[in-house]
Amino acid sequence: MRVLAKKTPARREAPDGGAGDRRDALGVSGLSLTLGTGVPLLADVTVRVGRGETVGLVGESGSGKSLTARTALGMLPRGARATGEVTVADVDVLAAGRRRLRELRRTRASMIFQDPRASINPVRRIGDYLTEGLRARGVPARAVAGRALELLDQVGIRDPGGALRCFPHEFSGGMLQRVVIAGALSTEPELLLADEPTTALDVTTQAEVIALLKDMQRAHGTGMLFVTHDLDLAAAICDRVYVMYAGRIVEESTGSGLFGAPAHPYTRALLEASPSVHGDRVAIRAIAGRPRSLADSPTGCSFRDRCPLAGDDCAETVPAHRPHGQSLAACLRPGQVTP
Amino acid sequence: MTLTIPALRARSARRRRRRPLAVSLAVAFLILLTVAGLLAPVLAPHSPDATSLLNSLLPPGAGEHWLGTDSTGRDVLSRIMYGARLSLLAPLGVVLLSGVLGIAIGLLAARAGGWADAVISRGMDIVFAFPSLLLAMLVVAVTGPGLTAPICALAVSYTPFVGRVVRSVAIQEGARPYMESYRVMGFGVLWVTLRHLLPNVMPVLIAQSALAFGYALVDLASLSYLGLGVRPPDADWGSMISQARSAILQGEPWSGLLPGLVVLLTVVSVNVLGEHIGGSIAGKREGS
Repeated sequence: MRVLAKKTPARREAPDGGAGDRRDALGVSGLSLTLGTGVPLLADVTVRVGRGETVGLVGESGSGKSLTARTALGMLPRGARATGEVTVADVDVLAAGRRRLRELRRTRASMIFQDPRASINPVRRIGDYLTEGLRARGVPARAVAGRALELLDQVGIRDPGGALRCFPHEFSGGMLQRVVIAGALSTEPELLLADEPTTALDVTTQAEVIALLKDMQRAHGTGMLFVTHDLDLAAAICDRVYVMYAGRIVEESTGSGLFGAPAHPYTRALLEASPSVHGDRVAIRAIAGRPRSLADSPTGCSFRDRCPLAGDDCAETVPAHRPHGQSLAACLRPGQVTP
Repeated sequence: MTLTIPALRARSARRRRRRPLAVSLAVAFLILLTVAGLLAPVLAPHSPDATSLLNSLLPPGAGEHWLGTDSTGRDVLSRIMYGARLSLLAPLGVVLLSGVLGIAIGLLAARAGGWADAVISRGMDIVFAFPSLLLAMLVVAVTGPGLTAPICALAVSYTPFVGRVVRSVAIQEGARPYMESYRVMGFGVLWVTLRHLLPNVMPVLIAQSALAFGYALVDLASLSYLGLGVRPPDADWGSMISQARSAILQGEPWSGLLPGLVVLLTVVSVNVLGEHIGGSIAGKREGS
């Protein structure tokens, strides 16, 4: 892979090697989100992504993963109210005005989506997509064409000149996702929100795109929040992983610790519900009941009604995050799960 | 790691694909009409207003009047040629005006949503329910005959025709992920709407405008037929049909049938062309 150790020095390597005072790429703390109709969507979500760090956000559909990522860019659902604190590269997102938010999205934080085909205007050429983004990000008109070529070359597209004149439908999904990544990283953002960037791609393409993302990230020192429901993928590429259930973070763990020692019963149940190619054949166990949204989840621990370990005390309050092994789990009985 | 682009070959293949015969015929006919209208003073064999009672109601092919003459002996071919000017320009005006209004209103309704959308949509329904010819006649009754007033009136009454389609497509298209992805890139709502949403609404809009053009042509011809549009002796297809009424009753239908045929062919041609343009833009995005 012929990827860019470009002229830009990685930002995370502060010249003085100073560690402590580096600001985070993304800091979400105590975020709660409620629709105008009073339906709660997220409760007390805390997520941190350091510079150059890859952080996974996993959970079932509807658990609030994408919503959390979107909130980081101030893309709230219509009429929703957010409380708590969301900072991206020193910008207080929830308090920022429209202009500030646009500035933030343009230069400091990028997002890539699940289906690259759906995230590019189908009637415009690839070149238009890239140059429009570059122009908006303040690249002078003369330099735009050259920069676009350079970007396409960096993400490994042969004949970038021809590619610029193509329409999105003339590209495969994987190539299109490369284009999107090229666009997203063109400003060397401090934060990259990747919302299931490989879900719509086939597995080999997936591996290539992931490798590309990691390379680009390493080169620019970008912090990445990787939203996925692929546990193996998350464990493989993430430094830390947050597990979400019903609009809450139920466990925070290291990437490797997720598989090694899941602390929350939900995490454990998720792992048991996914097939593995390693080890002995084990029966896949589904989680009883159906996924809840925050609005109709039970009092206390949201996972209570599906949890094999639940007791009466689980109904009393939402459990606080407590350390267990390498993890922080929101459970009264972390790690007690017997397989 | 590099990838090639197999698409380049496919694209040149598509360029060679032939357009359907009907579309070619429609284009040819519309070009013919346009040229005939533009160059009428040069090309027309006779003056459109020269009457000759001796030569009235000649059938087509009679002597120097290729398409015959009307009840006052005016040359039908020349009148059709001169008539093309008003009969093509006026509906074009209606379509352009209602298109601009419809786009603005439809996009506004789609993007604003909520109560603003509800108010705009009900407003459009009310205008929609009002017969366009009746509105035009009311306006003409106030302002007197002439073409400007009916054009504006028809444009207003066609606006919901365009606006409703624009609104529904814009809502559908606006919900697609790429709208959000451009917002995430830091573009404002207005920019995204005009630069990305509008082009995606265009195929439907063009097809719709072609339909509207046909309706407008017929409506304006009807107004002329009723004596409310073009003032005589100016030629216009509708008024030609109107003036042929008595001749048709006398069993001499040609002076009315021929302009009627031209109206029919024009409307069909425009529809075929509009459909084709709409279809090929839509085809490009679907990747055919």
